[in-house]
Amino acid sequence: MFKSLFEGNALLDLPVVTLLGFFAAFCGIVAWAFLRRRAADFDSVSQLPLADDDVAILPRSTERRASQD
Amino acid sequence: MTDTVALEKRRITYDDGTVRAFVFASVAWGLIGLLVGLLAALQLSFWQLNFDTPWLTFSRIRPLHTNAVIFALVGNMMFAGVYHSSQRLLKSRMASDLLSKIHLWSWQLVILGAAITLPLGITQSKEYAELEWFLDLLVVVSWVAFAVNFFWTLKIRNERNLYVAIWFYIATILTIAVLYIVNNLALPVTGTKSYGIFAGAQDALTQWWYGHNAVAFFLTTPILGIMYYYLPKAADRPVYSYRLSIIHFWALVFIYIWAGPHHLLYTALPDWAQSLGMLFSLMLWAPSWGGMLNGLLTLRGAWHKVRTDPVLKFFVAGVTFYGMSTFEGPLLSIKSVSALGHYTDWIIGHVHGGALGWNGFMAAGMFYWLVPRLFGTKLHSTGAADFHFWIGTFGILMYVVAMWVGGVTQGLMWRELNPDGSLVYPQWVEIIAQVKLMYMARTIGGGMYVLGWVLMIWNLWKTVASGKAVDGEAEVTVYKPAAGGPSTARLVFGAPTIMTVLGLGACYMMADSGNVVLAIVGVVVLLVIVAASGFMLAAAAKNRFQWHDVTESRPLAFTLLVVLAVVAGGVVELLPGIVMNREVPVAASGKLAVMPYTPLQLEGRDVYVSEGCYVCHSQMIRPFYEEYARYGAPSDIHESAWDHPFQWGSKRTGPDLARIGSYLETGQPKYNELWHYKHMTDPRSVSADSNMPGYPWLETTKVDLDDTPGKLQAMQALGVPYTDEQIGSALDDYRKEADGVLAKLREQAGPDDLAWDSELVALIAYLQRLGNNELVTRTAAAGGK
Ligand code: HEC
Repeated sequence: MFKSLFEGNALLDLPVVTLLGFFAAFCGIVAWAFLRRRAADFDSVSQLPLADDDVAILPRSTERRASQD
Repeated sequence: MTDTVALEKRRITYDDGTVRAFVFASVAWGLIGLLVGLLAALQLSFWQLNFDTPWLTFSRIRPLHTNAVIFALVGNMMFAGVYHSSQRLLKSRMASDLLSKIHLWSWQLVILGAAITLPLGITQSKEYAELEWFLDLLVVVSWVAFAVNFFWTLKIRNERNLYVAIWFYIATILTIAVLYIVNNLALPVTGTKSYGIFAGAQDALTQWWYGHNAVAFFLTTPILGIMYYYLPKAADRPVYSYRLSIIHFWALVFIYIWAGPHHLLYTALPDWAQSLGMLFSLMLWAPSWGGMLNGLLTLRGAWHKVRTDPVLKFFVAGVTFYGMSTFEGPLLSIKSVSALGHYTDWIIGHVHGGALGWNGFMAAGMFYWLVPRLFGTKLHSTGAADFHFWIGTFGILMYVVAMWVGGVTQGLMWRELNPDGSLVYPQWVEIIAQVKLMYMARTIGGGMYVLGWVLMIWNLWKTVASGKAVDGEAEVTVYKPAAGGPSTARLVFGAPTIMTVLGLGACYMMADSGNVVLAIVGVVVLLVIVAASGFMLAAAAKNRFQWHDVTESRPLAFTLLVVLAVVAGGVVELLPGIVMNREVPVAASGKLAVMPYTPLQLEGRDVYVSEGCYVCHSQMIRPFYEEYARYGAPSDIHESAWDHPFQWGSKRTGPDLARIGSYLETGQPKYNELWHYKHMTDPRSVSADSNMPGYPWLETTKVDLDDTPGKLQAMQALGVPYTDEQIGSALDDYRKEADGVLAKLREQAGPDDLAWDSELVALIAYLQRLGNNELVTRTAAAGGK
């Protein structure tokens, strides 16, 4: 009964096309997360919340060393 | 960050005053929201607690409870967490103290507005979007201040990498903006009343696209961001797998937005949309549990800390409740499970597992961690916090289990049939009686939770008193802007603002019902805006240091992807509704099978909306035999074609009302006018043991007839087929029909002093109209198993 409402509407190919596009994009991101970025990268980022204890913390480890002299 | 040249080290002070204010607001408004919830729970057991007072009546305060918990408790808590953690993760003070203040105070004004208007019956009747148009505008102002401030801070940040929490915040800000605006598009009729531009199935689809994603992007993603920041901090170790958190993020952004139709299973919504919603809901389970495990495994090797640290206790339990809710959600979206659980108290249990367990416990954990630090002191009492944890956990479990039992009982009793096909429990009050005990247990559980919250307030208060407000400081490397900071003019006329305005326009075009061309133009404009923003931002990034280049382009790419994912998913979900053929078939009589409401019925409908009857009554009969036996033929998509807003409802504390005016095969109203008169003024006078509140004031409150022609006009503008003559004669027609109702009441030996322009007359006319349509399905023996 409701199907007739949507029949012959070219716009409704859009959900399918978009859905496929989405899966492709999502798979791309997963692949990127696992393949392209080196784990070391993640390690430094995952330390961010721990490195900000409101006391003279500098943004990057190299600079922190530099500031110690 | 466009014209950075010099490099210098600088000591910065974070704006923690705003954080303290948001914490305070969350804790205080939260208590009010919880107490209102407790009253609402009690009212279902003791109808006397409605006090026959309009602004204390269940159907008006239940929306206040939900709005307060979502927007006041969780909203303010989220802002506190976002402001506190973002400044530290971005190593920058918030870009504009003024915007922070505007955001803070306008948000509190919205909440105050809600606390005043909802009990007054000023409501759009769309769940969690009840606030009327003037408050919606204020919400937009507040959110834009927040968004501009946040993205501006992002721009001037002093940390190249964006921690995953920031991603969650970005997704929250963008998505909520789109959701809120589209769902609240409305045509103001008077200073306090508007009609949403969507109607019927279209409105239902939009509303639950919003409702579902509000849960996703208001109650879930920002709190996940908070989890990814505060849990590692409290445990003093990095998140278990950063990689997993990335996947968690993208999976949620890509999948969540599609799952909305699971709120509309077995309704008159097209089948394919229902199936899509179910499919995506099931898919959601995987990333959600990935996120939960990521949170819990962060504590590997630190479980001994959980024993001694109340903060970690709350986080661990909160994340576990997240896991529970995200398992139960997909489960409930399976069609056969939904068939049993939908409209019952099971759903109430489900949302409270999420709201009290996930949101409330994450909030408590964050407050216990944050407040001592914001006041440079130690938590006053660890023991009291522990006690809060235990009494809260016990309270939630009691609440949830009571609602499971109650909900399943209701679902089973509704469908129980005798061998001859008749209902075993035709009387609604029998079913209420069965769950009375569960309602009491729920209230006790909820009460324990509130007690825990009060204990927390005391504990935090003592903590604050023992310290003194301190603002965090840090030394950071700053990239100095070449020519001063961004000016106000640049802020106002800057690309983000212009893009926002254009985007709003595009959303409006997209949503303009009935005009497909305009809708498509809107979609195109929206996509162009996204692309243009991308180009502009990428171009801006070119003028920077080499490494900044890379840095900047990454979050921008993220932001764009998020917008694309959300907009595209949303468009696909809403498009069918937008292009849907609204044409109502013509009946054998030559008239439209579903006629627009008469002026009297329309005013009655507005009373129904204003009183919030939808919180207890659905108007959507599902295609099951047992619903057919109880209510009549399944609802047809056309029957709500003229309903701005739709009243399908989501909870059946009382029976469905879709065919109350044309019952089963008789085609006659289920009750006469006098029954309704008595029932509305004192439900117990005709239905002993009912827990429905009385609405005696409807008898004396008058409909404001000055607005009636304007209301018809607004409806006409929205596509409801009223003729100009009908609008012209609206008041005469109103009077005539009202006199007819009064005549019937007198015939039935009812009152003879009821005023023709009382709200009650209009409401009765509306109720007697429900189901009186000439659709084919109405008479066909529909509703086979
Ligand atoms: C607390 C939840 C609650 C609210 C709010 C509520 N009702 Fe009810 N309603 C019930 C319950 C329970 C019943 C069944 C017992 C009875 O007949 O009173 C019921 C029954 C009814 C019935 C009779 C249905 C039937 O098939 O027998 C009508 C009509 C009705 N309500 C109209 C309204 C209207 C109109 C409003 C808003 C002004 C409203 N109700 C608000 C709970 C509620």
